[in-house]
Amino acid sequence: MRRSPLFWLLVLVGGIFLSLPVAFAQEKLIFGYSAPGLGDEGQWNIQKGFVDKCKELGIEVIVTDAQQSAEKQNNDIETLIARGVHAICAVPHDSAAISIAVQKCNEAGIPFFTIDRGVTAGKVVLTVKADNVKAGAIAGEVMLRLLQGKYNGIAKGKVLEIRGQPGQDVAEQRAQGFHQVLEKYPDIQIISLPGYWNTEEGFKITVDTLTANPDLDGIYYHADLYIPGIVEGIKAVKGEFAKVGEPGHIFILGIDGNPAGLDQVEAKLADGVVVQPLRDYGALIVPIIVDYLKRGEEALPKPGTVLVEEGASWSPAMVVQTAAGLEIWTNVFYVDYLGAGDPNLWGNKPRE
Amino acid sequence: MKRRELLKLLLDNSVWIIIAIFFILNALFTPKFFTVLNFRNILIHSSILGIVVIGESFCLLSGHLDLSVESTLALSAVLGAMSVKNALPVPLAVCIMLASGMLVGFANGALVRKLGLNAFVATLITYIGIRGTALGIVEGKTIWNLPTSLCFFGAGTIGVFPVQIVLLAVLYLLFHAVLVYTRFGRHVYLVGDNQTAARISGINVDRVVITVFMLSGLLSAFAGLVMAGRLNSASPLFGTGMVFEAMSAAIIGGISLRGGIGSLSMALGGVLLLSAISNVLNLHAVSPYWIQTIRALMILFAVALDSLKRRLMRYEE
Repeated sequence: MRRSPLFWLLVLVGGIFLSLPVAFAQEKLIFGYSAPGLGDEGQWNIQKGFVDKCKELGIEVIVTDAQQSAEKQNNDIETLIARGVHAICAVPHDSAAISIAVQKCNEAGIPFFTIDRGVTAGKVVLTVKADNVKAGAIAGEVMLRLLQGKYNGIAKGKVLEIRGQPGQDVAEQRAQGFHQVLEKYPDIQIISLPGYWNTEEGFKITVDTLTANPDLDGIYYHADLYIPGIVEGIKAVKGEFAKVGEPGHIFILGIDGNPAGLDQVEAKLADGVVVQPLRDYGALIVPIIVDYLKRGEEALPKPGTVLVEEGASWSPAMVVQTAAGLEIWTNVFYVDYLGAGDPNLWGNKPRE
Repeated sequence: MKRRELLKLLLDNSVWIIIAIFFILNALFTPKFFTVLNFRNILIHSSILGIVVIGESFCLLSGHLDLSVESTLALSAVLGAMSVKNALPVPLAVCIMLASGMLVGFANGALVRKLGLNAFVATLITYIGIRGTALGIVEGKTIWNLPTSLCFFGAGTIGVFPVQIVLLAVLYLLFHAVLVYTRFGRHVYLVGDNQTAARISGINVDRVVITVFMLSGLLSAFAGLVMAGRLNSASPLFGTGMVFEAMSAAIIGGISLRGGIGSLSMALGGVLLLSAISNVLNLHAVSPYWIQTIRALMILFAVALDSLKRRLMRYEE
């Protein structure tokens, strides 16, 4: 039987309509996001920023949570590889242990990106992180100014540094920046002790150091989670806590800018905090991943350039070629009690 | 006193002798160590771990491990903070905290005795699950600025004494009495020593083991209450890694992993020794890169002294 041209036209149009969803399904990008543990306020925000940007660009994203286990993170990434995602972005729980999964990802031809931390081995296309050395240096400069203010312009005093986990790159860089600034002043003594990112350990260090050094002038902490331990530690030894501006106040400042940290700065328990743009890492890296999938290496920013976007909290960001690979170091900035209530800070943004 | 009796006395109190040597050495070589303020600090540092160690010691004496203590501590702190932030009265919040610990303990006991799971596996399950629950309840947030009344156990004072130190003393005396002078205490030792013999002699082993786990859960939850007060905050990450410290303190104090051997006073010695070691390292401001190595060497030194005494005792026999 001979079919009319209209019939063939309908078949053609119908075929196109039917194949459209399939074609779009093939085109739709799927990214994998491997979080080291979403129980942490900062990590939750990094993940939220990544997922939000993906949604905005119409990208499907599969989020896995390694629950602070290096082994689980490796398994999670292998699952994402098996799922056939187009790209994987991870915040490594352990920079060395994740390398096995990164190499498997390289073998599978899936581009691998990281946020906040690098990896020891395997090819990472790009890492976006805060400029932790700069954050430490800003904290050092503020501490220097506070000490000079206290001692009539003379740079002297005794400062306790409560570190994170010794050996971890973030903790090392935050220490490096701080020491770079203050070690130029021989009359400033820095007592460095590891708090292992543990509030109670921060309390113990504060109590013991204040006992050994009742003349302590300031405390620099590597993460906001130490603040409650510092405040209560000072109370436990001195019997009272002098807020910012009150006589006998011990200067307290550090790095992070999470909700509790900003609250404490606003309440004048701490002098200030160096804020990292955690919620905006995703806004920066997701478009680069999309572009990389289209154009390859050409899409990556060149080392030495400065990325600028008006109004973005990560801007300006430096593109740096390190031994670990290509990295973008985002802007960090200091806020005191006057600025801690700013609703634009990630720590003040609502969760949903 | 005969020589052997003297040696037995020394062996029974070896951890206290090690503490005495440690304190004398540091009084000579560590500035600000031998001060009332610093002894107060050591006791404050010991209190939270010390409370957890009481529960862990009961479990170890009955021949079981409890890995879930630190997660129970975190869950209790988080539940208490959430309760008061949701306008529940403080006494009710405290009840919720303590009940959560007893519930976790009951689950541990039931998994071990009713389902027949190994205590390591059973408490590993709750260790993971309960920490996860604490994380889920607050989605990783730290809750801070708690009501003063909730912070009483952690930061209050009775006269010149911090409540934490009073609690540590009272709880050790109380539970030492329970272990030594009550039928339940004797049953704990008997079950730990030989479960079959205990059952044949008419002891309800299920009840003893479940009670021991509930006690451990209750004390861990109480430690959570003290920690929340001490730090005026609650985080689902509270107590991370504490289970290893708790077991180390109990074992350094001479409590056997096989059960049935040891005493609470020795466990308290283990707690004080670990806290004093950390305190001395902080007072000396040891390099952050070497602090763990030196801590390990100090613990090794303490355990080696203990081992030497045991050898001496055997030689005498």
